[in-house]
Amino acid sequence: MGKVVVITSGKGGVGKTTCTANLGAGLALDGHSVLLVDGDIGLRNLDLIMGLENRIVFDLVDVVEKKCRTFRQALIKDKRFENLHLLPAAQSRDKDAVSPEQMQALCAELKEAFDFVLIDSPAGIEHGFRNAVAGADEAIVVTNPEVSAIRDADRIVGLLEAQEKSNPRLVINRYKQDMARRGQMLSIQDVKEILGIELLGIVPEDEGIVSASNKGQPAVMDRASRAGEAYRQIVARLVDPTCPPVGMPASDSWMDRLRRVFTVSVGSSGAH
Amino acid sequence: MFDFFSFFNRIFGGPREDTRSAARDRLRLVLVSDRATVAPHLMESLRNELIEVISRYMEIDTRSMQMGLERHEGAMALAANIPVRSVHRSSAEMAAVSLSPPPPAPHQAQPEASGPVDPVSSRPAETAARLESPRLAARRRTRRHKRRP
Repeated sequence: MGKVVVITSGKGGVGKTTCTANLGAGLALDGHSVLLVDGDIGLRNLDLIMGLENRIVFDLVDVVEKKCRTFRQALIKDKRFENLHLLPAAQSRDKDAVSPEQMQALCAELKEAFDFVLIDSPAGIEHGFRNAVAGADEAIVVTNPEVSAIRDADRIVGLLEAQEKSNPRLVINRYKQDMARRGQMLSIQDVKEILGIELLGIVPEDEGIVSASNKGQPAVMDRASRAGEAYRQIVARLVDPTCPPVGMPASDSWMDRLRRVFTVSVGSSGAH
Repeated sequence: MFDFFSFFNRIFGGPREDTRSAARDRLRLVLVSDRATVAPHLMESLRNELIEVISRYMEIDTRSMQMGLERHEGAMALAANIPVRSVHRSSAEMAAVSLSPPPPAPHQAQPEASGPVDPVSSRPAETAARLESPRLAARRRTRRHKRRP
């Protein structure tokens, strides 16, 4: 039996969907069977980030309302990976079209069929959030090293603990090492101390994330991407919790840039 | 690694303000009040437990008791203003006379505090001196006791 992991943040725009897409693709690259669930009913985006937006027939609400025979009918199979599927959110429905109890029942069914079920939670702490976390075994809290994102992340950690989703783990996204070095951004240590939860990974700021989303191809598939490398590290820790603790992201010095120029992209090797 | 940017910045731009520590300090403060206000039952149960503990030693006026988080010189403080009607005579004497530490009560909050007080034998004496209400501010680093004028 697999496990259900919810990716959540409180504040919008910190990179939940990007994180979900990259962890999903990374886990699939690593050979695990993965289902991505877009929990953002009414504002779906995971399909777009994954490049699967043109193939949606049924969605999460259809599955819950039993409009399709089984959940499998609503899944979109990723062309690049045999073992990666997406369950899209409904775009024309309201967040309360689904109840936390229904999500719990669905998650119990889904984790029988996949190694990892990743749920992309909507921003906020209302109904959509409660749905997204209802059936989750574990939680990943995504934040940016900024005051507003951290304040909201703290609230989310409190809510997760209140719902007995113990030990949520932290991903610090869009970290700018250069700014932190100049004393212009919270350091990793600051964020860790303030939130007081286990650090799962640090994703450096990377323009490549925008290019990757333009193409609908997660950055984790790109060997040359700094953010992609960070996501591969997070995947390794998700699979094996005994993996060494996360290090600082690779520096952006000219030596590293040069090194990356000579690194072969694996992005196309999984495609067919 | 030599940081060219901060080097040039230091030469041409002068020392720049450290906004990182401003962010850190502001967040720490705001999260103290956020966590306390998000869970109203937290302050309520803290208040009730405080009353329970203090009542073992003195009779307090719980109606005019005030308690809350306040901002003090860059730190959050739990400030409580608890008017004291009288100190239980038995507990005062027990604390003064006792040579060996009394057995701890099962629900005792502070291990160094003296033992439980029998509510029947510890009726406040009518002649007990009226104390001015102390203002207790439990702060992160320092503890300050103020007296109301």
